[in-house]
Amino acid sequence: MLTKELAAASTVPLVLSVLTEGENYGYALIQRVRELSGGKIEWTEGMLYPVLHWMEKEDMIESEWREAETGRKRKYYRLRKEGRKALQEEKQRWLTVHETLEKLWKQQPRST
Amino acid sequence: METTTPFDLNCAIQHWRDGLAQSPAIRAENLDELETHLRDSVATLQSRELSAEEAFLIATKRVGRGAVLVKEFGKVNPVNVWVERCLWGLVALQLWSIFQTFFWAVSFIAQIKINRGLIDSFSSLSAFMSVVIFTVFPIALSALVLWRLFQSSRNRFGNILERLSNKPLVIAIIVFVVNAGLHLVNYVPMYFAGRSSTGVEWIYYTRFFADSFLYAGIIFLLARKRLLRKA
Repeated sequence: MLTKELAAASTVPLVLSVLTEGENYGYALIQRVRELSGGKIEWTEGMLYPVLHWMEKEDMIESEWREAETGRKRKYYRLRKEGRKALQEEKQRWLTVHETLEKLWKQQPRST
Repeated sequence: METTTPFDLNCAIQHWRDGLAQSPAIRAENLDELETHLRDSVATLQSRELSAEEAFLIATKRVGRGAVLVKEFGKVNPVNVWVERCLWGLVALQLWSIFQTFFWAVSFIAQIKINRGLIDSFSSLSAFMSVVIFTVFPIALSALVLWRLFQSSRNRFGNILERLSNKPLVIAIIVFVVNAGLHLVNYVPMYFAGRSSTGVEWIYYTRFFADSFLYAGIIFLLARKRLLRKA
């Protein structure tokens, strides 16, 4: 399980990354993240929507209400140019942290 | 949990939605999106052999508690939250002026009864007592009433306020009439006390009108803004 802070910090890069696979709606986005993380990343689902709306305000993504095959109306989100740029920056940041930690952990193998 | 009546999923979802709709931070479109999410989630859970009621309970828990959602949505819709706060502030001011006028009228009548004199009746109150009667009492009472209102905001009072602010014009007219009335109550004793027998009544009347109109106007604009932004 992620800590609250880490879950909050990773929401934007996760959403942006899932949307590079193509447009999607909130519920499916959450399912995709849960599936990829093997159930280890669990969000308070409703909290995703304010983040999506903030990202839309920041021009990272755009949205559209559309009727799905099942007849249910859903709001689909799509990546925009600003979002791809933001994703690149996020990627750099997370990789920096990841690589640094990995180097440190290789030097000092876990003793416990 | 034992239920005597069969579980009605649509009814439960509507009830859940109504609860969230109380907050100014969550707009109608947000509610639609959350409802679609909840229905998707319920459908998935039901396909895993859960009953409608069990699926609903788990799905709502996963979506998150109302208070948490309201806080997060408030961050993306801050204007709505502030419009609501301003409206509550004006309600507080209105209550305050109602109570102030009430105490004013009561103390005036009481003093006429006691002193049997009009002109001296105002000066006979000590400065301390007039602060207590016209400022402390009304503020304390308004605070008490508002506190009660907030406590029961999910019940009767909240619904009345919700319905009223959905009709900005009606609420503006009520506010106008109430304020004009308050001005009159404030003015009548002065008139009888002979303080305005200098032939400048029209100034008072214009002020009553302008004051009340301005106040009602601000309430109208805020209530309308609230309505538009919630849609």
